[in-house]
Amino acid sequence: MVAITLFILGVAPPLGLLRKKLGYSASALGSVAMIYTGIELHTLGVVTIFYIAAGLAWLFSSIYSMSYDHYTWLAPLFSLSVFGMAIALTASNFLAFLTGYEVMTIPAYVAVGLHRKTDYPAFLFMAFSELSTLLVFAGFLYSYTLTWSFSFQPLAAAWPALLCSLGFMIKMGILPFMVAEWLPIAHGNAPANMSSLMSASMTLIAAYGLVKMILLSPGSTAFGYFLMGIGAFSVFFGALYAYVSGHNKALLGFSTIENSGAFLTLVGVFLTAPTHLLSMFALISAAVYILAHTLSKTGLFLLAGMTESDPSSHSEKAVGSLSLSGAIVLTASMSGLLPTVGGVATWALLQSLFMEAYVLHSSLAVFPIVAGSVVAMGEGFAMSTMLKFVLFSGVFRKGGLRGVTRSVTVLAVGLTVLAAGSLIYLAYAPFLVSNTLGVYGIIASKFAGEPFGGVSPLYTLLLPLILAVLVFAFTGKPKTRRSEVWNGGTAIDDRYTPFAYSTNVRLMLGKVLFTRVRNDAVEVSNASWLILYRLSTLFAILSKTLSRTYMNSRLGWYVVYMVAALIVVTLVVMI
Amino acid sequence: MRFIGRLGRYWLYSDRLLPAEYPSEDFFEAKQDDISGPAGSFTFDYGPVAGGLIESVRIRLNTYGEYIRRATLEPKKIRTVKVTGNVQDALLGIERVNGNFAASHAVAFLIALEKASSTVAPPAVQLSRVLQIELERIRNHVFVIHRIAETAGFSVPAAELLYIMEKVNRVIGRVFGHRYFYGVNGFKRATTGGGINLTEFEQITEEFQEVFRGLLESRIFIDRLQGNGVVTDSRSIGPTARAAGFEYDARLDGDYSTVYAQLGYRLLRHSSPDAFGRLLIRGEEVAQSLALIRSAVEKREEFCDDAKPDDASVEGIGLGRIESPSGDLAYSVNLHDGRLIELSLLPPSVPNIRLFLESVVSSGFTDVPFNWESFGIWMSEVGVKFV
Amino acid sequence: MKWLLRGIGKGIKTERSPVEVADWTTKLQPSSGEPAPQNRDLHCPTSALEDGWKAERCVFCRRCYPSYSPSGEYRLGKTIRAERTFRRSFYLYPIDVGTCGACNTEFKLLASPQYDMTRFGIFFTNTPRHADALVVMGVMTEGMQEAYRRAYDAMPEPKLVIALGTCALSGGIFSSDGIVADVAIPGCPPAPYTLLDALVKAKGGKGW
Repeated sequence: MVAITLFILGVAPPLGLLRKKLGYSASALGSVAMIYTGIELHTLGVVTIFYIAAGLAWLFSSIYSMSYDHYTWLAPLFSLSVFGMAIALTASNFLAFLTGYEVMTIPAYVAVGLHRKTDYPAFLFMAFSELSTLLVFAGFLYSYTLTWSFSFQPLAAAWPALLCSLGFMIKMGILPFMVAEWLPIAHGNAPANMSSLMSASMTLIAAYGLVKMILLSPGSTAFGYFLMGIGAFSVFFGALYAYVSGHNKALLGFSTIENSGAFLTLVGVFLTAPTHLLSMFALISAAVYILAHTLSKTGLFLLAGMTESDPSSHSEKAVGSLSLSGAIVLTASMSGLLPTVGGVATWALLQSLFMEAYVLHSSLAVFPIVAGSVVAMGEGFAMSTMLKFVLFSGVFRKGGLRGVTRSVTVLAVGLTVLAAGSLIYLAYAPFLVSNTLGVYGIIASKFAGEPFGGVSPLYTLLLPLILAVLVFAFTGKPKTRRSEVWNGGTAIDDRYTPFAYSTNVRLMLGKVLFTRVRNDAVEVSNASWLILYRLSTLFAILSKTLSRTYMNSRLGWYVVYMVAALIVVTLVVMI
Repeated sequence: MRFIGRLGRYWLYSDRLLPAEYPSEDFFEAKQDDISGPAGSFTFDYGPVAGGLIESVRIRLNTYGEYIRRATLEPKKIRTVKVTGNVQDALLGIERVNGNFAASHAVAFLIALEKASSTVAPPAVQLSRVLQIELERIRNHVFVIHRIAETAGFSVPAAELLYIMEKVNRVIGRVFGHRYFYGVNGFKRATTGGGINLTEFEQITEEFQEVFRGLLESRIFIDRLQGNGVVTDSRSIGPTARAAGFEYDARLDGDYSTVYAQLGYRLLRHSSPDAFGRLLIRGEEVAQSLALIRSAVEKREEFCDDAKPDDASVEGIGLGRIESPSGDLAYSVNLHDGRLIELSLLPPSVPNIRLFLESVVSSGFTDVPFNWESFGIWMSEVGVKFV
Repeated sequence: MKWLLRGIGKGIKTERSPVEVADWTTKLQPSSGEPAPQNRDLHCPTSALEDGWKAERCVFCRRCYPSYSPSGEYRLGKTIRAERTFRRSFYLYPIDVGTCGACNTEFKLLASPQYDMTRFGIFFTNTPRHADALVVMGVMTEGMQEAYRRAYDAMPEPKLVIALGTCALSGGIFSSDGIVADVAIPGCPPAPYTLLDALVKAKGGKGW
């Protein structure tokens, strides 16, 4: 089955060169094959969830692209990237994985470069992606020196997993310095279908790689706490920067960082959990979090593609009610609300941290407690961010339909997220509680025999629906009269802007965000970005001075260098 | 010599009038142009009809979200008042330019008229007029403090202040026949205002002090006012100027200053140029006005009415300026053949509005009502057209 | 706490019936013992004496004094249409279309402890959407026409329009037109006791 999937996806890029729709259809078909592969491999544990998530994301993006694309070069690049991701996902050895990793990144780089015809975002993206590849490569190399084989095998040391994790974390936007701004910049400057691929699917590949390497390595609790700390920090700051960002796509980019942070926190719990059941719960929840994020982020980037908002005040176009319904479900999922799968994931995250704090009867319990508080604050910001996104995309502005295919696709993603919420109990096999009240799929969090907490997404979905129908049947349609909005006696002539929505936080957290209010703008800065920028400028200056000093084009010095090199080589050979 | 404002075709200073053809760098108008801001900001309206506003006014605020960048103001109710011609009819209109400052408006107008007629009102009338103005001052200051307490959500002090205000209104109604001094004043005459019960005034003073001191003890209350609406401009008037430390008061350098001096008037000032300072000044002036009234009642016999032959001229120009509860209020009239041919008004609300619009920048919307109320602005005297 | 104790110590200040009524806020009638007044001699600026004393035109300028003098009757309000739905809860939304400020102040004084309108179920509201009655004060100016229309439109049924003051009823000294209203409360300005009596009648009560 894997071979069929790879074949179909491999054929898509050249087809895309011929005809766009053909290429996208092939990608869509390949995605379905991917989903099927995932279901087939369900005995392999969490791997299934990754496969299914990836397949669904590619499927929706491909269908959307069929009516979105108006470039000539986008179709083959898109399909090529998907092909690369498939290779990486199904790889059984290092070389295949790295190949897939690069094949997925380079078309994205090209797409970013060609999209706005500025080179800065593209170079930024490529620089950090290559740094990530470098670290992953180093990790694989180390693993090779331990096992003398290229295939994925259990390892005795933790270092390979560590190095690879650092590389994958860069890809997820967590490092360097947490909340690196390159990811939102890069993702914000690509065509919408490409952005959705980058944010959702590439993050998934990185997460997949990280989980794979960690599963093959001996557990390291220190590393686990490190991940928990970084993860929580990223959740908070990712969500905060998403809230104060002025650009819709940058907002979604920061949201990706936030979700990656949540994923890392769960991996951290997995590594540090005192009981086996708790670590299993954490691992499954990590995969579910990635599933929730992949689906929702795909849908939201597709929606952002429809509004095509620009960096200034207002969204230019509004979305119709079809896509809006989908958007509301998607933003609810990203905010961590039941009955969506995102709600289950957020619940599971907080439950894992609770349980760990409860079970760790030592001073180490402070880690999950602090992490839990920070994550909760971040989730609060995430909810406000998502609310802002959906309100200004569609609720506040009445707009027309923007292409039926695209609207229906977004709606479909929303429905999938809803359905996934009710069906995800299938992934939590050891954690199900027997049918009480005749309701299926109650997921209970456990660290030992007894349930710690429980949630039933299906119940949460059905109860309000049934009640609403009952109330409506009882009372009928209310008598209403439409009248104009009351604005103190005058007509409304200006609109509340999304920028103004977040200014309260910009001002209140002014110390954290380095807010500067001027007469013509309010600006916030990213501390880590500032540090990074300062460091790189310093480095540039340093290297320039250094190179000027020793490459000073004076013959005398070169002779000295040659002599020195001769001496050094002789010494080394002798020893 | 201090700058007050624009009176018709002149700039009014405390001791002279300068023709307005010569541009004065002391004066600038509140920008009424189209208000819009950079990307990310938006403009919204407070008013014209809003629950928090006493009168109709459209305040437009351009903001980034929590931070007000700029504000403009548009008076929405503009009434046409016929003043040319018969002086008696003009007085009817003048009284009703601003009902809450009716005594101040009527007195300033009548002083201007009397000066234009080269005559002076008898001392008893002058005393009655001062009495009216001070009663009006008490009522208005209590009202302003009530509005601030109400905005802050302090319902009990707000209700107690309203109680005191109603009491003052009843005194005015009993003594002068009408609670807003309508029909009380005339050319060189005024209802004399007998029957003021001094014990009742003692009671009112005591009750007011209790409430005022109680409000000042509340940290939360003061917090809403301190630093809110800072005005340090020397081109300010009334309680606003005195709160900032300027010695500006028309009771010192305007008409009837001798009467005030005889009654024992002393200028009050603070060095807190924000809404809190304006609150303090008003509270203290209430107490002072009550003392002035007592002094007036006690000295009533000294201001005996010696009837003089009517020597009013039918031709002339006159300027009257008194201290209304919110600052200097001036009228200038042009009399011809016993009839008014021209009239100009400088209401205290015009300079106060200019100061308000400047002081509201960089504050948040929740500070705006406190700032607005602390100036004691009445839109009814801003939106009048005299014909 | 201090406020509470002090308030209890001061006792109840609410009055059951008007304690003090200012003369020139009440109904004017021909003074007894005077010869029958000639309209053209009285120089009423608003033609309020054409056919007996018309409350909705009088601005209490006292020019007709001593031919006419105050009677002390403060119940000047006229209810053309009452609405008993509001018997227990009557929310008022004031709109100032062109007052001198005095009507606004008298209206606000309805909330003072002496009059305490809330004991009759009368309240102020900040938005027309929650209002039962639109209280229109002042002469209708051009700038406020649109706001007046919008405010009326924003109110849900059932609703009343209350014209407060001579300016609203007949234009006062500013114009010659007033608005059409369900409840007419004349006065310049109408004092709180007049207002309270009229409002209680407007919601189906017996007056004050």
